[in-house]
Amino acid sequence: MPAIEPGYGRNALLLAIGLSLGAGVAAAIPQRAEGPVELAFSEYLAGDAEAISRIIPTTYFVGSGARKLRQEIDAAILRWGRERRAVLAAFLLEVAHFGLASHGGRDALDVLAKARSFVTDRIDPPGQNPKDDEFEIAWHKTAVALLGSLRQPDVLERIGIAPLGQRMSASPPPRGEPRLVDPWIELARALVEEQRTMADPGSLIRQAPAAIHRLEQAAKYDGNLPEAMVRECWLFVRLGRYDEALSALDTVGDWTEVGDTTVRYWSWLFRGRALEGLGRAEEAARAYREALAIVPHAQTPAAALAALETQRGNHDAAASWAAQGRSAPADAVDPWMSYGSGEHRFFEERLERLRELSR
Amino acid sequence: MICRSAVVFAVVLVGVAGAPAAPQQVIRSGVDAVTIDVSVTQRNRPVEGLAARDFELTDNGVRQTILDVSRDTLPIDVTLVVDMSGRGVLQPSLVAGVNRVLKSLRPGDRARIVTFRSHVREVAALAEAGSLAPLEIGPGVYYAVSPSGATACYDAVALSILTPPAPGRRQLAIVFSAGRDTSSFLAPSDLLAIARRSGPMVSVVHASFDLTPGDEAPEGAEPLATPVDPLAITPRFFEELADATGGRVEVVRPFRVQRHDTKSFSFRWQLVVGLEDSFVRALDDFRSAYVLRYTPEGVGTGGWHEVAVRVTKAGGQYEVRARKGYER
Repeated sequence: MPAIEPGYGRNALLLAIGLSLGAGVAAAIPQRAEGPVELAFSEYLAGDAEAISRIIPTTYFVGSGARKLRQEIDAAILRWGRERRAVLAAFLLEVAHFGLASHGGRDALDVLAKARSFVTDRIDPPGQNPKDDEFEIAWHKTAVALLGSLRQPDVLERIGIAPLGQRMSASPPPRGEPRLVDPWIELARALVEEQRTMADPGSLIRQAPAAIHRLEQAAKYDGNLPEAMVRECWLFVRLGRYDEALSALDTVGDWTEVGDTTVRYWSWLFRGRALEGLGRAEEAARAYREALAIVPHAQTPAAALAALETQRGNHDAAASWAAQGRSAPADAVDPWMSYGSGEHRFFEERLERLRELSR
Repeated sequence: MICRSAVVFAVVLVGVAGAPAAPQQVIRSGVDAVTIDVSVTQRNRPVEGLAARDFELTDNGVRQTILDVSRDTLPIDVTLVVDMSGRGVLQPSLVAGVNRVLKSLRPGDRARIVTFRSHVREVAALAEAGSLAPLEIGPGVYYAVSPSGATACYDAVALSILTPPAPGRRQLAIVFSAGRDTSSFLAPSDLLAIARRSGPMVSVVHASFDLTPGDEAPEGAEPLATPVDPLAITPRFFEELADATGGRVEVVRPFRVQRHDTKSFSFRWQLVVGLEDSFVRALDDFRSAYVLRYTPEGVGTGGWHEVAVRVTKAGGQYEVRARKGYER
């Protein structure tokens, strides 16, 4: 398979050299030194993505281990950065993912930020080289999906979104300035604002107007509409504005036409909550059952139905829903659980695509 | 425990009465009988030897005649609800705690085990305690491990305490929580509403992870403001949950945390205390409670009934815990 190798500029290489010299480690690293990071990269180049978790010690992401991590990444950059920048960018993103999953923290995020420099330092500006554009968009979408799970909107914005500020727009700019063009960026910005509404007990009221504004902006693009409106619905539910929550869902029209099962499931779940808020218990119960029809073993609609029936004094029905909710099969997936994590639900498929593009 | 369906209660009692060695035969319930667990302590020690005349019980403000008082005679159904989120360091202690409770149960007692992270899993359905295998650490205990360490405590507890009425038995739920909720659909107020209307007494073991700078900060550390965890469950919530059902809260600090902030917030921690004893203490507390039975008089039959219990016996201050009410 021919390798797709985006043409990066000299800045990345200069950065690589600078990193090493600046850290005073270049002299300490033999040209052929192969620590765990370099070994993992060699395996990764050969198509073994599992090498990262198999070879790199988790201790590299905590305490003094981080120094070795940085040294070895700098060494890998020196050795491979010139010719393998795209795959290095994908590899470092996966290293960051492994770091976040094993210990989390600053060091993993530093790795991700470093990886981005190999994506954005290009010879051609955005909008000039379709392959480079595709890779850059794919890398950022993957990074945003990864960062969503942290539920730290400032981090998501700083590392995932802000660097795209002057590089990407939702539609082609009027004066033809070169840009990456993808309506997704509006949804990504809205996700940051939505996560801000969850940051602390007072943030819902404080941050909701900005989030609603962003979601409305995102909803102007057809591809974003269902997810933007389902998220706006939930925001209105959390604010106790139940009529507006239902109106947001109605904006979409025919929900059976929405292909994203997860978003459709959320729409019924949130419709149920809004209807409950309006005192329309029977309709709420029907909405929750619709959610269950989409994901039969989901625990959340069962919990909602159990709570609703308790409120209605139907204790036997409540106990029955509760029993169903806690006895779902071990491999059952409930899409509600991914709601607060932005686009994390897309991480695996985006990562797979990124791997393809990087090789 | 409140038996909210008096008719079902009476009918099932007849059925149970035929079973050999069923301790609930001591109850000869009338159609409208209500039972309620009442824990009485002085200086954290259970008070022994109380009789019906030593209690005053009101139902919707109307004083009731207590038909009888029993203690430690009815079989117990205990639901163990265990938060398995986090990085696993507590899990051996949690599993040991669950198994200690199973070993402490008596013939006729039953247990159910529910574990949760983001998802809830009933790892052992309600069964005679002697027939349940000890819980072991392994894939069976975990469930849908989330990459973000998500935990849905409110949903899990709601799903675990909504159980069918168990006439002639007492119901206890021992909830272990690490003190966070990242993923529940239900609001805390939903869970409180459910707890008020459900059967079991809910006792909580709350593992607190206190990041407040202590005396052990190493030299050079300059403690910064402790970050607020927006997803932390407040201790007040657990108190309300337990209070609504007559249960108790035990706060355990299993970690010694050493802050070593320099330019940024940072800390080390070490596991110093297990949780096993806390689980058994919750069971012992439940066993030591009195069970008061009365037939509501002078109050309506439907809706919410607010219950208040106090000890009238002379002899000092009593701490009395009982469910705040029930729904018929």
